[in-house]
Amino acid sequence: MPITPDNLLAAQPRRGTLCWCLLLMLLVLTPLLAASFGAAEIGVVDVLNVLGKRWLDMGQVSGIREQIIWELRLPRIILAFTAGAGLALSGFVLQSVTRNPLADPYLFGISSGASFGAVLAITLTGGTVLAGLSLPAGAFLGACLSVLLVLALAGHRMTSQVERMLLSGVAVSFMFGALTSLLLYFSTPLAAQSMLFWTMGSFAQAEWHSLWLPVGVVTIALGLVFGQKRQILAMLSGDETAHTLGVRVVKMRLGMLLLCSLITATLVAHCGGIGFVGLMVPHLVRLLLPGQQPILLTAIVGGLFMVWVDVLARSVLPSQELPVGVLTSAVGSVFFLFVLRRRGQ
Amino acid sequence: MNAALRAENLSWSADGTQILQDVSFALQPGKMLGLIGPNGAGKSSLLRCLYRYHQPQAGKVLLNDKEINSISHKTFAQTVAVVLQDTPTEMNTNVQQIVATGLTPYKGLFQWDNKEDNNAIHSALCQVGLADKAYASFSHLSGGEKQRALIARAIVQRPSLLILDEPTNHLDIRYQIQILELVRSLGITVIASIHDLNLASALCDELLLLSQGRCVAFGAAEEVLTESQISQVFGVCCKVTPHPQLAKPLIHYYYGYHHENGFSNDSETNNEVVTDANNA
Repeated sequence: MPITPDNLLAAQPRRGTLCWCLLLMLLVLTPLLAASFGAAEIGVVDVLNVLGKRWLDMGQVSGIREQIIWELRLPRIILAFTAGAGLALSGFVLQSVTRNPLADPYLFGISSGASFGAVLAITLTGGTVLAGLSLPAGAFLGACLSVLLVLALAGHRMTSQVERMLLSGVAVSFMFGALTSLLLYFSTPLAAQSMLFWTMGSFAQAEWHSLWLPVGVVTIALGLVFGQKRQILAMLSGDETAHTLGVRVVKMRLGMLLLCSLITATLVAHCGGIGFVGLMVPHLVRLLLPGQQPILLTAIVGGLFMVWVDVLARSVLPSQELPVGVLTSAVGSVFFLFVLRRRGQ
Repeated sequence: MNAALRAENLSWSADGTQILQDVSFALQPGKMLGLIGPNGAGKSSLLRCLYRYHQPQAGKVLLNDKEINSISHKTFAQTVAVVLQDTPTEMNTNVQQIVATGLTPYKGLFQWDNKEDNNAIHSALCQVGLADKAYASFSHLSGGEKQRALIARAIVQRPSLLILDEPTNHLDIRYQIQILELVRSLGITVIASIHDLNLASALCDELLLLSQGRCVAFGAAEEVLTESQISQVFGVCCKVTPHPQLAKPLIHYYYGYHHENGFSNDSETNNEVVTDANNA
């Protein structure tokens, strides 16, 4: 085997660098391009003009276009990017610390808890103006409740913790699912409809003044995970090995579950249930860059993926927006089956 | 009295079953201890008590004369490195990353690998002969290469005590010798559980023979690997002669334990075999 070592040595980092360059380029181009898609005819030049006007006090653009770009599309793109990055990050971390390739932010009952909270909020406020405010709060509280249940049931024994986490997550999911169905069964059609809309996820509600919370949470979480990268990677080699490397395995896993739950609960409250990104993007990155565990890269890929899925949701039908959760799940599952097929061969 | 590791009257039980009972030994710095005994004798459990994965119900372990539970997680991991039998490999990590995790106990938050660390990783990989596989996926390595990669991680961890749980399992004889000689060459205190008694005899300074959770014998190979102790603990008959190269005990086994009513473990039949074998 005189050839392979050289190739391997050189090829891996080069591939990583290539990926990074590509991603950075996309990162710059994506907001400009993504903002020019949608119902209104807007070009990349308009987007540049708006940005120039806002930031550098130069450039000419009509008022209505400025409003569409600055008030509607840019916050939406930022929220979509944040959501994608946050979900991908959570998926990456949870898959690593549980060493379960199927772990994703929704596996631990978070989404069903959030749905329950949302439905309860809608039912209690009865579809009034209050609903718009109480729905995210209800979703957030519901998500927190389910995570606290899972955390309380997970226990502190290293040998059984992962299994108990997963099983209690599934049980909590079913419990809140049943409660949600029960509430919906007795609720008004209006409440059921707004509930359905919320479950499918959307970035249409994005506004500058409400962006700070999801952006802040995801950024801080990314920082925390980045700081613990070494410990998370050590846990990939098994609990016992991680223990011998000085990692406090049980505490670490509970902490990471809590962190990921916080990200997911915040995102679910802001943009509804968007499935599959958290599960799929980490696997996609692992597939593209075998033998590497890039946290930042995973988050960026997740964010970019979400922005473009949202663009698709806005522009695939001429007069209507598709719910983004439906698209991510559709694109995601097809992709996943494709990966499984390739892996199997 | 300056033992690198001292176990005093260790007892550990799991779910009501006594696994370890009253195990005591002391190991001088720089020595290599081979842990031998039949399956289920408690070898892995004893090791787990030594690296704090199990908490013994009675007795204590002293590392450089310090009670191990009084040592912080970080300091303990800087002093003791462990190479385990099975390492999960579903998540694709490459060799270099696996070895780099050996630095975990030395790093706080946001401390990345610097040039010095990379040099340490590289020289550890060279030491185990895996420099050319640094970016290969860990799961694609052969059994011997995996074992060597894990030893490279232990080297990066800069321990004064290295614990290995059956490091020679599933390896061919060349790798078995290579791994143990590599570990010996590190010059640190080593404890390894080993199944092959001849290998343990040849390469360890001291041996600890466990049977049903108890320490049957502890000392130099000549004192531990006697014909009577081997037949008593393992239920096989053998003849021990000096090794032609090392003059350490070399065990020759006798065969023919299958009886018409199946395999038997009780000592009476074993004695029969002894006479048969000796007459033959």
